[in-house]
Amino acid sequence: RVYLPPFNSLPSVLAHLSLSFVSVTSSRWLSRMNILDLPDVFLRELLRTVGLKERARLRRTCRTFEKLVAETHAGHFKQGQIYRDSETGVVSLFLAHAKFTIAPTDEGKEKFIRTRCRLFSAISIESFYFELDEDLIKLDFVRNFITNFEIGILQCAARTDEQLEMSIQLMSDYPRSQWRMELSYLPDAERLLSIPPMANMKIFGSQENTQIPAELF
Amino acid sequence: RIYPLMRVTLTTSDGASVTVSRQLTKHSGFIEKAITDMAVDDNAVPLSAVAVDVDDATLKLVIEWLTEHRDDALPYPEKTDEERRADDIPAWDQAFVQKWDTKEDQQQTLYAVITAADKLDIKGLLDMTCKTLANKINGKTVEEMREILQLECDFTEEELAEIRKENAWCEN
Repeated sequence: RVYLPPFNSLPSVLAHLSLSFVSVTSSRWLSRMNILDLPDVFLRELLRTVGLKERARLRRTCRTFEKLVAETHAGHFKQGQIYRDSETGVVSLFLAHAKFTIAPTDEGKEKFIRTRCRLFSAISIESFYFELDEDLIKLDFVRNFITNFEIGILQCAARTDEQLEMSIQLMSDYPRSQWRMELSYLPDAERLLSIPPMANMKIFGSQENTQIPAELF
Repeated sequence: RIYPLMRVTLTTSDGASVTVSRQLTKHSGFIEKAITDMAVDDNAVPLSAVAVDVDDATLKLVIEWLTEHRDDALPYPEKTDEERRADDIPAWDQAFVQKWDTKEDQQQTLYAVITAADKLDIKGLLDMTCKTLANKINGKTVEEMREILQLECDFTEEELAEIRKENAWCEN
């Protein structure tokens, strides 16, 4: 059965309809979309598209973006480097035109890893250069730092047998990367022969005449 | 095989019906799957209606974009991270986005088109809108980003100071 209102109540029915129209209009107005209403897949894609500086700034906009920045892939960058300056002894990271100086303490290294975890969960780097050493830039530290890095070319430099050994271990974590190595000393023949194939290998001797062992040929 | 003259009727979330060529709908993973699931004869013209959870006004914009991009390669080529970073939006697409009225409406329309592109699974349109939004915020300050994205700051002053300190190396 269809309910028909009495004729004299028509104005109130019209008023009701008019109110309904207003409420529909205002509810549409109120349901304005916010960027955080967009699909998760889109927001992740957006954060893969913007630069590192923009990621850092988005982190400061609100808590939701702070979390999103930490949980997402940062996209592609040309170069990254981590090494200790031989003159000043300062450990530096270069990434996307930004330089991070790492305090030479355990606390400094922890802060560095924490900062990285707050800026991205993963990253793609065309070429990454590292120099390990025996006291500050150790294997575990760099391994921890580059977790979830996709690296095209992995380059390293070593001055001692220990550094060489650690560098090979780190490189073996990235079997799909192209490996390049620079040695500023001449290891013995056995160690030289144990180095896995490199796309590019350079050996710089400190003496004018560096003797290459005959066993290599 | 897609027959260019074949047409499909789409019914929108607000009850409108739009009939479009399969040459356009082939770019939508959602519509193509719906047609496949119907298991209808490809020669049936027009095909049965496909319900899309997109309003009429937004669907018209999506169809306008699809019409311009009807000859784009399929399947949509997977973008490398480097291509994703590039801000190379075709001139037609830039003009398409810019014509959306006032600043506020443009943002709302952009969000509606992004949501539609996601629901209809149109990868090219999602890529273009993603780059558009990325270009809007590139080089902007935190305050400008909040204004563009209409975000409320819910940090305390102390928290903001801490994040600013952490960010200093890569933000400046």
